[in-house]
Amino acid sequence: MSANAVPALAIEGVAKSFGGLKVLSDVSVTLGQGECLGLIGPNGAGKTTLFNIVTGFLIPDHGRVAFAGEDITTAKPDVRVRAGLVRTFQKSMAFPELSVRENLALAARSRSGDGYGWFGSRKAVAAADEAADELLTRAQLRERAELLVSGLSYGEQRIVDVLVSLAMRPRVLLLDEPTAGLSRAEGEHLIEVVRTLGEDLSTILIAHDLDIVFGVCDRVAVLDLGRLIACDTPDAIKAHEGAQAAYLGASLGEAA
Amino acid sequence: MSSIADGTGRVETRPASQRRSLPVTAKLALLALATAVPLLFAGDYQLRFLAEILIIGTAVLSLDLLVGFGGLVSLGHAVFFGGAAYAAAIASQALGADIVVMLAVGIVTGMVAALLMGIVVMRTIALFFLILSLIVGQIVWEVVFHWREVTGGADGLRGFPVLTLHTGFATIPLNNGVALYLASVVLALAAYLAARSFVTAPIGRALLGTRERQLRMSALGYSIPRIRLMALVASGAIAGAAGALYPFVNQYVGPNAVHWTMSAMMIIMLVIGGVGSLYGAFIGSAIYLGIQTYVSSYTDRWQLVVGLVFVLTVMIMPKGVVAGLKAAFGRRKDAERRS
Amino acid sequence: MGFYAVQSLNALSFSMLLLLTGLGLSVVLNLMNFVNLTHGSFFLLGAYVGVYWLASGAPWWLAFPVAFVAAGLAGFLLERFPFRQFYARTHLMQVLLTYGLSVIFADLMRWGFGAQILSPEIPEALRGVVFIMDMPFPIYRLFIIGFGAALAFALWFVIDRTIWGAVVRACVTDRGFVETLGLDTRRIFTAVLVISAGLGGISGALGAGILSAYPGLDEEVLILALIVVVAGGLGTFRGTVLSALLLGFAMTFSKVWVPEFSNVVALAIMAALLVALPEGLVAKKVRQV
Ligand SMILES: Nc1ncnc2c1ncn2[C@@H]1O[C@H](COP(=O)(O)OP(=O)(O)OP(=O)(O)O)[C@@H](O)[C@H]1O
Ligand SMILES: [Mg+2]
Repeated sequence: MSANAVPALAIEGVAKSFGGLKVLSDVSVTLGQGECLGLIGPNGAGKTTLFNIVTGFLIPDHGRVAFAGEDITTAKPDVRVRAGLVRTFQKSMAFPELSVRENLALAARSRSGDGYGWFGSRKAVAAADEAADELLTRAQLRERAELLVSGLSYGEQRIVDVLVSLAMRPRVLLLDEPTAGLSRAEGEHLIEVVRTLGEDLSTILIAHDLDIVFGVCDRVAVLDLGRLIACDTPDAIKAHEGAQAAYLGASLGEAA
Repeated sequence: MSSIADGTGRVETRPASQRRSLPVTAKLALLALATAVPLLFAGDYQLRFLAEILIIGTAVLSLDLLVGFGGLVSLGHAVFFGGAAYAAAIASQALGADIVVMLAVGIVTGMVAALLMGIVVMRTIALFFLILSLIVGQIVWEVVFHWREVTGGADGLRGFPVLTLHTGFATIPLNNGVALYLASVVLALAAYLAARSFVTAPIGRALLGTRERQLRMSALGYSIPRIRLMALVASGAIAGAAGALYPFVNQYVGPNAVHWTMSAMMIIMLVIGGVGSLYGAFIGSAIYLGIQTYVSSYTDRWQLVVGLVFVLTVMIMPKGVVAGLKAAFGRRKDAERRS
Repeated sequence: MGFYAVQSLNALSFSMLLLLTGLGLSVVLNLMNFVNLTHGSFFLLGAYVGVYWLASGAPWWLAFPVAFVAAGLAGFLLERFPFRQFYARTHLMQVLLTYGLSVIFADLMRWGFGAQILSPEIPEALRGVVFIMDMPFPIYRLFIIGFGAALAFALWFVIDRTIWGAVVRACVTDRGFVETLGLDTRRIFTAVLVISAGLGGISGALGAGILSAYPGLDEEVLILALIVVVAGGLGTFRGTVLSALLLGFAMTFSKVWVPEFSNVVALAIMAALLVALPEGLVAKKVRQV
C-alpha cells in the first residue's frame, strides 16, 4: 500500500450526542486499502454508533466521513451500500423466514441493480440465485441453501449474515461483533470465510474476543467513552497503558 | 418496527413441481367451467352483481399488495379506485366508452393518483401511514363532493355512454349482465396474474422485506421509498383498472366511491377473505357484498351482520375464512385419521 | 377584534373537545400500547346518555358523571372481552378488531336511539350568552373550555405526577417487573381502559351541546381524535395538546376565512404537518440501530 493512496475510508473529527449523552467525541480514523482494522472498547464505548455513522444510519453532529476519497457524511444508507460500503449488525438481521439462498439472492439482486424488477426478471433471478449458490459452495454451506435461516444453528446463522454482506460484493466491510456468542473454533472459521471470500476487501472488525482481533487485524483502534484513545499495531496496543486501563485491568498482553 | 404489519401475507413461491397441483390445462378447464356456470343459471341482475363483486374484488386485490406484502394499511385506497371511476365516467362523455380507452384512462388515473399519494405518504409508516393516507383521501373526497360542475357533487354522475367493445368490424355494446360479467372475469383474472407476478418477482420480495425489516433492507442497499412507491403505483394501476369498469355496472358513480369508508370496506373485505393470499380479495368481496345485498332484504341490521362476521374473522380466523376453514377442516381430518 | 376573540374562543372550545376525546385515545395507546377505535362509540354513547339525561329533568350536572359511568361500564366489559386478548397483538390486529366492534356498536346505537339528530336541552344555568368585546358568546362553550381544561389537567397530573401514573407507565415498559412488585397489572390495565372510555363518554355528553347526537357522529369524532393523536406524535401528552389546538383552530378559522374549502384547508394543514414530521409533533425517541 503506497503512502499517498486514497484511504478506503476516512473518518475525521466525528462527534455524536443523544440528548445530553455524548457518545462520540472527535473521533478520527482511517482505513487503508486492503487493511483490516480492529475496533475494540468496553460496552457502551460507542463502537456501534461509529458504524451507524459510517453507514448512514445516523448523521454525525460534527465531522465528516469519506469513502474512497468521496464525502459521504450525509448520504443515505442504501446509496452507500450500493457504492460498496457494507455492514453487518450486532444482532442477526437475516430474514429467518426466508431460505438461506433467498437471503443471499436478495442481497445479490440489490447489488446487480435487479432488486426492483417485476415483469421479465427471470434471468436476473436466476443469476442472483447462481451467485448465491456460488458463495454458499465456497463457504461449504451449499447443502444448507434450501433451509430456512431460522432452522440453522446459531453459528451457521452468523456465517449466513456475513455471506449476505459478501453477496453485496463490498469494497469496505464493517463487521459488528460477528463472532459474539460463537465458540473459538466457530469464530475463527467465520473470520477465515471473510478472508478467503472477500477479495480486495478492507474491513473494520468489532469484537470483544481480543485473541481474534489481535490475531487477524493489521491495526487496532481502541474506543473508550466515545474517545479514540489509541490506534496502532496489535503489539503496540497490547503495551498501551490507556488501552489496558479502559479494559479495567484485563491485561491485553495476556490475552494474545 | 412497523408493528402494524402482521405475520400474514405469504404467497406460495416454491416451484410448481414441488406443489401438489393440477396441470395447467385442467386448471384452465376448471376456470372456464366456473366462469360458465353463472352464465347458465344467473339472470341479468345476478350477473351484474357478480360483475360488481369481481370489480371491487380486484380493487381489494390491489390493496392486498400494500397491506399483505408491504404492511402498508391504507385508508386512502378508495382514491385510486373511485378516482379512476370518476375519470372513466367523465372521459366517456367526451371520448365514448370504449372499454380499452376506459381501462387506459382508469389505469393512468390510478397510477398518477398513487404516485401523488406515494410522494406524500412515503416517509410514514404504521399508524402514521394509516392516518396520512386517510387525510389525503378525505381531501380528494372533499374536492369530488364540492366540485359539482365536473363530478356532479353529492348526486354523482349518471347518463354517460354505455361501455362498448370495438372489434374489427363491429362495435358491441357491453351494457348487459352477460357482457359486464365476462369483462369483469377477464379484468379479475388479468389483475390476479399481474399481482401474483408482482409478489413473486424481485420487487415483491423486496416489498416483503421492507415490511419485515426496514433497516435490514436499507443495509442491503434497497431504497425503501422507491420500493414503496413502486408498490403503490402497481397497486394504483390495478385499482384504476377496476375503477374504470365500475361506473358501467350501474351506469352511476357517486362520491361514496372515494370516501374513506369505501377504503375501510375494502380492508374489511380483505381481512375476511385473507390478508396476503391475493385470492381472498374476491372471497371477501363476495361475502361482504352478499351480506349487504341479501341480508338487507330481510333486516335493516345488515351492518351489524357484517361487523359481526368481520370481528369473528379477526378473532378466530385472522388469516381469513378460507385459511381458517381449511385449518379447522384439516384438524378434523387429522383427528379422524388418528382415531 | 371582538369577532376574532369570539372565533378564537370557539376554536378553543372545539379544541377542548378534540383534546378530551384525543386524550382518551392517547391514554390507552400511550400506557397500554393499544389502539382503540371504539373510542368514537364511547363518545356517541356519552352523547346519547347526555341528551336523555338532560331531557329527564334530573339534576343536570349529573349528566356528566352518568355519561362517564355508562361509557366506563362499556369499556369495562369490553376490556374483559375481547380487548384483553389483543394487548399483545400487532397494532394492525387491534385496529381491525376495534374498528369491527365500532361498526357493530354504530348499528346497535342506530337501532336503539334511532337515526334522527338529537340535540340536548342545555340546562338553564348554562344557557344564554356573555358579551366579549360586544360580541355574544355562548356560556355553554365557556363551560366546555373550563370543564375540559380542568379534566385534562387532572388527567395529566395523575399520569405524570403521581405514583399511580408511574406504576402504569412502568407497566408499559416492563409488565413482568411491575408484577414482581406484587401489583396486579391486569387490574391496572382495566382501570386505564375504564378511565379512557369514561373520558370518551364525558366528551360526548359535553360535545352533544354543540354537535348534537346522531348516527355517524361516532366515526366523525373518531377520525378527528385519531388525527389529533397521531399528528401529535402517538401518545405524548404535550403532542396531543398541541395538535388538538392546531386542528381545532385550523377547522374553526378555515370555516371563517374560506368557508367553501374549510375541510380541505384544515385537512391539508394536518397532512402538511405529517409530511414535514412523519412521526408527529412530538416524536418518541427510540433506538433503532
Ligand atoms: N439511538 C440512540 N439513542 C440514545 N442512545 C444511544 C443510541 N445509540 C446508542 N446510544 C447510547 O450510546 C452509547 C454507545 O452505544 P454503542 O451501541 O455505540 O456502544 P458499543 O460500543 O457498540 O457497545 P457494545 O459493546 O455493548 O455493543 C450507549 O450508552 C448507548 O446506550
Ligand atoms: Mg455495539
